[in-house]
Amino acid sequence: MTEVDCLNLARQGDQGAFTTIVETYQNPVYNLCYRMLGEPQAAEDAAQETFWRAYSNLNRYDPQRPFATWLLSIAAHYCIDQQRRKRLPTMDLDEIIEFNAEDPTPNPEKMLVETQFTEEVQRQLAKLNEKDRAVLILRYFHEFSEEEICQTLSITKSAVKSRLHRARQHMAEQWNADQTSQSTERRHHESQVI
Amino acid sequence: MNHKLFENWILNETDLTENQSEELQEHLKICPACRHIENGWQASKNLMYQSTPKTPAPGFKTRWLILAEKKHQIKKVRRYRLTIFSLVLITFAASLVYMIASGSFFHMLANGFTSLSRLIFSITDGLSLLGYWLGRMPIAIPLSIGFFFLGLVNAFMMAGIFTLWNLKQRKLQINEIQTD
Repeated sequence: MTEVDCLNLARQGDQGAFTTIVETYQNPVYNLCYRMLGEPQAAEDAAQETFWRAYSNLNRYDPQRPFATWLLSIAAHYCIDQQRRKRLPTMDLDEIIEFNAEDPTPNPEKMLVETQFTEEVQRQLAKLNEKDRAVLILRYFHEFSEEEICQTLSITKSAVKSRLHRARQHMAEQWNADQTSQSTERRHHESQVI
Repeated sequence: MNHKLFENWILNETDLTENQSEELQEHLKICPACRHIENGWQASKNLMYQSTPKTPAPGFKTRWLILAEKKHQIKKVRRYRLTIFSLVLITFAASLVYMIASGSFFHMLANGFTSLSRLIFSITDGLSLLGYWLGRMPIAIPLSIGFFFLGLVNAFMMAGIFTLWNLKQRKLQINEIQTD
């Protein structure tokens, strides 16, 4: 069954057909929510809520638009709202390790590196404001074009450009600041060893 | 040297011509600020690309089905409540309109006041009768009745205070669990 068939059936009230949609899009929706909220449980709740909102409002979906864009736009708006209600706290390393421990990754070294990447990325993303974060996540984690980001977040193209510019600048500055603090720490540690 | 132009080229990820690209490379060699931005941004971008996409814990679809079922139930209950409430409201509004239009509303109001004043008179009469009988009894009986009612009032007050305290304790416990 194609996506269009599933959507048509779901629009007629067939929940089973929509479940196929859930199965297809669970990873991108969850990934977006996780990057936005930085916490597995919050991401799970947001992803579930996104699918429920999509299912309840299927009659508002315009079939001329790609379904993924519409679905991710619901997720992004929901996460932005959640963030506004409750500012994102920085993530606990224990939490990340605990969550990743569920993944059946056979290589512990690889898992550790991935955890470090995740932690680093989340730390940097957490310091961006909600909309800048959403723009950056859609651009680099979901490889959306600027046009698609406009549609997803309902903002103008110039707003997308300026938000991307600001977010990149922030990420670059953040990276440099982290590097400086790490090298200072290393030097301090070396001097203590000597 | 237009420093801002190079910074924009880096941060806007502009598609550069060959000449512009060479120009940017030359500028990066002599400008530490732009080099810093370029290196920082490239490293951050690599970090984002290298970070693996997050996937939900197994059983997402099943959990969604459970959630959908719950939401359906909530929707159903809400719709049911809304229907009942609307019916009650419509009935009330219709009877109010009818009563005002037919004039029976003011009759009912007057009857209500009459019944209330009758009730107050009956209570006053009852109290005077009680006072009369109590006055004729030996002093020990009204005194014991008085003490009995005082004790009853105290017991009710204590029970009320204890319930409030208990509720507060439970709320504190819930808050503690949520914080944990």
